[in-house]
Amino acid sequence: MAALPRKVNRRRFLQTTAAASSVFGTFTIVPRHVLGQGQVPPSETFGGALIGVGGRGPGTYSEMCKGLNVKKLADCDVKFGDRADQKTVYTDFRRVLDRQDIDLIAIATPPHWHALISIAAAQAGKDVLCEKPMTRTLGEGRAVANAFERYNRVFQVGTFGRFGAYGNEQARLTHKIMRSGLLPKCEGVVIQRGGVKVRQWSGDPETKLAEVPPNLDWDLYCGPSPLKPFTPSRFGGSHRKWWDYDNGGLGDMGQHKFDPINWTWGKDDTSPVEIEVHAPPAHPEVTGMWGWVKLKYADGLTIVMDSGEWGEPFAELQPRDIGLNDLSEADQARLKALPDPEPLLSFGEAVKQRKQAGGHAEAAHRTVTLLHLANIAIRLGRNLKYDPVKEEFVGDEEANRLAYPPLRAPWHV
Amino acid sequence: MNAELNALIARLPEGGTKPPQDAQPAREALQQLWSQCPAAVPELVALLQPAATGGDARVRLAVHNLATLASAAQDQERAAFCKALAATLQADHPADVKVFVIQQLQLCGGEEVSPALAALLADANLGEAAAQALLAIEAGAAAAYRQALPSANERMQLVLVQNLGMLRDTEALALVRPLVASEDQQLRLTAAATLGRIGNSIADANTLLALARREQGYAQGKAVDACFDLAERLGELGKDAERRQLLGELASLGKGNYVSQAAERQLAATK
Repeated sequence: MAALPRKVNRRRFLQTTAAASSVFGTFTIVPRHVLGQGQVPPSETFGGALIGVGGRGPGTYSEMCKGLNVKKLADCDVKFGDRADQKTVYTDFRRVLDRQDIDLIAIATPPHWHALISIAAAQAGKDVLCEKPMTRTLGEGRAVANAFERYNRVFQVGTFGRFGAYGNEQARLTHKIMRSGLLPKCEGVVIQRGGVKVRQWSGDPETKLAEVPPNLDWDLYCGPSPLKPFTPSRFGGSHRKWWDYDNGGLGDMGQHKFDPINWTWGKDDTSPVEIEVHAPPAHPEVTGMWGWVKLKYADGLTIVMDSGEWGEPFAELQPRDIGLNDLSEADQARLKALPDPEPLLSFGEAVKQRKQAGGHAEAAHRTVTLLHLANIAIRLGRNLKYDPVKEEFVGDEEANRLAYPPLRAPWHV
Repeated sequence: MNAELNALIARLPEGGTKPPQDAQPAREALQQLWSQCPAAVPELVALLQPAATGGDARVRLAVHNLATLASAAQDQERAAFCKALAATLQADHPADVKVFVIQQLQLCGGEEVSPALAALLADANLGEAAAQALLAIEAGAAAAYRQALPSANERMQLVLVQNLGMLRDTEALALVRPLVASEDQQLRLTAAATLGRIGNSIADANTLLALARREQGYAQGKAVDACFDLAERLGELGKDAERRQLLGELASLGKGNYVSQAAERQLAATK
C-alpha cells in the first residue's frame, strides 16, 4: 500500500482572524469578503461557481447560497465543449479556480472528482459545498480533511440530516451520552433497512461501446480514474453503476442515511473496527447487489446496513437505543453537569463566522468511511478488520489496495 | 477447451443487476475453479474478450474473484496464481484484455510479478496500467520507474514522476529536480508535488518557493501545497531550522492571507 495521505490528529479548525480568498497574486491582496474581526457584513456579496452542472448541480449550488449573498460567476462542466467561453462557462475546473473573484465553490460532479476539486479549491483559498458522497475512496477522504485543516477553509458535504438529528431531543441525548465518556461499553444497535437504491444503481456488465459525444472531454471526465473506452452508461447519472466513478446505491445514497446516525452516536472522529458482510461475488467493474453489512465499533456500537433488496434480511440483532438508564445515578448527575452539544452551523453561517460547518470534512470523511468499509467488504466478499486510527485494514493487503488505489496522473491526493 | 472449466463458469452470476439468488453455489464454483489454478489460468484468460466484443461478464467475474481468493490465500499459492496470470501477458491477447489482467495483478500481485510489469513500462498500450499495478505492489516499483523515466514519453513521464512521489523514493531526487523547471506546466507541477514529498534541503525549498511565486491561480495553489509538504518532510527529517525557514518564507507571502496564516499556525504549533 503506497503513500497513505498523512494522518492528522483531531481536527483543529481555527477561528483566527480573517482569511483571504486569493493566494498571493501580488502578495498584498486584502481579503475581499472578510473584514474587521473575521465577521462578514450582511451586505457582502460572494462570488460563486458551480462545477458539475448535471442533475444535482442546481440543488447543490442553491444549498451553497442559503443565507449568503452570492453572485454566480461561473458554470463548469466537461460536457460544455460547445459553449465554453472561458468567461462564465468553462469545461476545466482549474480555470474556475484560477479566478480570484470566486470565493465559494459548489461541486456536483460525479464522486470520483469530489476530493480532487475540493482539495484544489482549498489550496486556492475557496470554501466548498460538495455534493454527497464526499469521496469515491477511503484515502481521498483523509486527504480532503487534511487539506481543509491545512488551509482553514470551510467545507460542508451536501447532506443535511445531521442538522435534523441535532433538532431531535433523543438524538441530542444519545450524542451527549456517547461523547461524555461515561459509557465505556455501548450496547447500541442501529439497523438501517433499505433506502439506498441498490438495484437502481447496480450496473449492467454487458454494455456497448460508443463514440464519445463531440462536446464531452472524455479524458477530463475520467480524470483520476482509469481511462476506459466510452460507453454511454459511464456518463450522465448512471456513472453511479461503475466502481470507477462511484460506489453504487450504497455509496451514492449512504451519506444521507448514515450521516445523522454518525452524529447522533458521536462517531465524527472514529470508525468501526470490524466489518461483516453477506453478499454474492462482485463484478470487477460494475456495482451490484448485496444483502447486509454489519459494522462494529471498538466501544461495542453496531451499525447494520440491510439492503432489503437481496438475500435474507438481517435477523441476528434487534435495534437498541441508549438512554439515561444505561448510566449509574452518579453518572447521570455527571452527565447533567456537562454542556449540551453545540449547535451545528450551516455552510452560510460557517462562511460568515469563519467557523467549522456542521458537516465538516472530518465528520463527512468518517461517515463516508462507513460506506467505503462496507463496499470494500462487499467487493471482496469477506469480513474485515479495520484500524480507525491508522485508517488501514488489518491483515488484508487487497482491502487496503482498494481503499487507497493509485490515481491516474496528473491527479493525486 | 476444458468442459469442466466451462461448466463452472456457467454456474457463476454475471454480476451487477444479475446476482445469483443464493451466493453459496457461486462461491462453491469459485472454490472449485481456484482448486484448478494456477493450471487453469491461461485457459481462463483466453476466454476474456476485448471490451468492444463483450459477452464475457462471467469470465471477468471469475478471474476477478480468483484474484480476490488469491489475495487471501497462503503466500505461496497467491504467488503461483499471480505468476500464472502475469505469464499470460506474454501471450497473444488483445491489449485491453491484458490491461484487465494487469488490473487484477494490481489487487493480488506481489514482488513475484514486478519484473513482468516493469518490462511493460515502455509499452504504449500497457505501460500506464503496469505502472499503476507496480505502485500498488510497491516491491521493485521505484527502481523500475527510475530506469524507465529517461526514455519515457510525455504521458509516461507524468505517471512515473507522480508515482515516484507516491512511493517517496528519495533515490529519484536527481531525476525529479530538473523537471520542476519543465516548460510543460503539468509536468513541472507533478514534479513539484513529488519534490515536496522527497526533497531534503533548503535548496529544494527555494526551488519550490520560486515556482510558487511564478505560478498563478490553481497552479500557484499546487506549488504552495508542495512547499507545505516539503516543510512537513523537513520536520520528519529533523531539519527543523530548514523547516522553519521555509514556513517563514510562506508566512511572508501575501501577509494576512490564508497561506501565510497556514504557515504561521504551523510555526506557532511547534514553538
